[in-house]
Amino acid sequence: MIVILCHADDEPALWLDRTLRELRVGGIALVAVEQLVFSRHIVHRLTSTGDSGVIEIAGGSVLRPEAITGLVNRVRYVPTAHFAMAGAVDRAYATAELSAFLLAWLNGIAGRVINPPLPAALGGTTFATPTVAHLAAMAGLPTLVWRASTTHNRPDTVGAAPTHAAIVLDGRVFGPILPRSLQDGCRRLATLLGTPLIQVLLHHSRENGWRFVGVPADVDFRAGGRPLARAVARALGADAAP
Amino acid sequence: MILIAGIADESPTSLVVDALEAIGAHYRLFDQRRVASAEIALEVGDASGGGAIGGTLTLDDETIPLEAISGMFVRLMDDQLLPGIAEAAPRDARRIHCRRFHELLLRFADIAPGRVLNRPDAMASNQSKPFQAQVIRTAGFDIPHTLITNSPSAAREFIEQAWADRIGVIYKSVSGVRSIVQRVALEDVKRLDRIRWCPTQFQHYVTGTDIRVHVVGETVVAVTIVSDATDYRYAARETGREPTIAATELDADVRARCIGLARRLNLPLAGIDLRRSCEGRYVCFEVNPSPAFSFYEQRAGVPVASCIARYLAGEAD
Repeated sequence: MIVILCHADDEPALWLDRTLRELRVGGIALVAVEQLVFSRHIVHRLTSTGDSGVIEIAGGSVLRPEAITGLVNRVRYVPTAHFAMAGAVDRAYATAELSAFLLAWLNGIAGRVINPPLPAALGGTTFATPTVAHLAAMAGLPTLVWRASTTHNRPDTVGAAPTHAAIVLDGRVFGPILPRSLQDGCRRLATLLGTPLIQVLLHHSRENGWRFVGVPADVDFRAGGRPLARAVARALGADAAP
Repeated sequence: MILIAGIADESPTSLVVDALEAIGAHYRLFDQRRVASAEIALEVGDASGGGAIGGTLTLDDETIPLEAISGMFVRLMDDQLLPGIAEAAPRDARRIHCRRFHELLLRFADIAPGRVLNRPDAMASNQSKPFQAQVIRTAGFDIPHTLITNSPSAAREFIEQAWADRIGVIYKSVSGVRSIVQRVALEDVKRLDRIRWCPTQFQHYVTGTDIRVHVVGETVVAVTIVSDATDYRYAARETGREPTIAATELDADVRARCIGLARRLNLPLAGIDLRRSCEGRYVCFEVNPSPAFSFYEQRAGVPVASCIARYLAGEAD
């Protein structure tokens, strides 16, 4: 079973789901984060040998971490609508508990998870701006100086709008054709971030040439088209129609 | 230069300052309570400079280039709870300055090229005990048999099966929110319906000897803790008796596993909670990325602070 775990309004994830089905990838389950979190029956076991368990989701489906062969992780936040009636302290505690559980559940999936969750980012791809600027420069991407201070309210950065979006998955670059040096830089950045799947936003203009813009939290699969969808299927151990 | 960031008179921080003084290390202290007189400017160089980290830190009247900081000890309390900030209005200039200062200091600590105990990004693993347990397992330690559930029937079955096997069961928070570990009692089983609203963590109780391990780089300092309490941190409250804490030596294999575990979590400073079971297994409960080592140092005389000082000064790996 391959799970696409996303929020209900995640258009790129919904596009990926449709495209994988068109490519006749079998065993795809589209699961809303809300379905998982609002489940009335969550059972998760950890022992010295591994994880197992059951989450029953609306519609009668069952998720077992040991039976999931691949998962596309698009978790941006923990839905907490069901805690709305609780007091502020209880709500904060329950949110922390649920977030902690979700991190371990994603990390305990038997198959590959793209992107793997991080303690500081359930979706695996939220990085602080100075960290990204530092690593992008180390990767050889055309970054500008980034500055911020307690005496200036906003970071001193060039706010160029992105004109190009490259996607890196397992060292392969998808999207528009870019100069080789930029492709290599995008690959190196993914390696430095320790993340298999990233989107790199770039700006190009005649007067300034190429500029690195940033790495968004969510990859827009649509920018990589069907070649990227096929690569995602392969990365999760599934076959796609040519 | 070494930067110490925290509350100056909090025990672990003051012990590290004393230890740095003892070895004559060059250091500066950022006391969070003096944030109003502190400024920071963080700069990441462009591609031609390889993204070099620069900027300045101003503490009272002294301005320090960030490039001069070769080591950091980061033990910050929640800056929104600081005196003078906690009671300030949301848009109060002091609160905004305080938040911005801490945000930039933390981001600097994430990417500073020197030795940092610990980098804020890495410290986040403590926010999920089962996530840590999964990492602990890969480091070669046993973990307690654990159930996380919002199903009263699954919890009841887990508890009754354990009791039938003469094993106790405890419950504690899933997240890093501090909670007192409690044993499940018969009356708790009657209120299991309350777990429906949020998954709750139950664990088999492991009998044995508590061992607290502090890893500092490649150095391991361990103590044993003897207590009748379920959670020895609250022994005086639970049993009326303080725990007995004494220095101990670990086998080379266990030491290596502790260092490996800290490395997997990217925590050069780690407080690891072990229990040596009656059968000789080492069960690991969790890893504290900001350990209150003074509790153990002051009771057992183990030299954690001096290990930290030597590590930060580059005198130890």
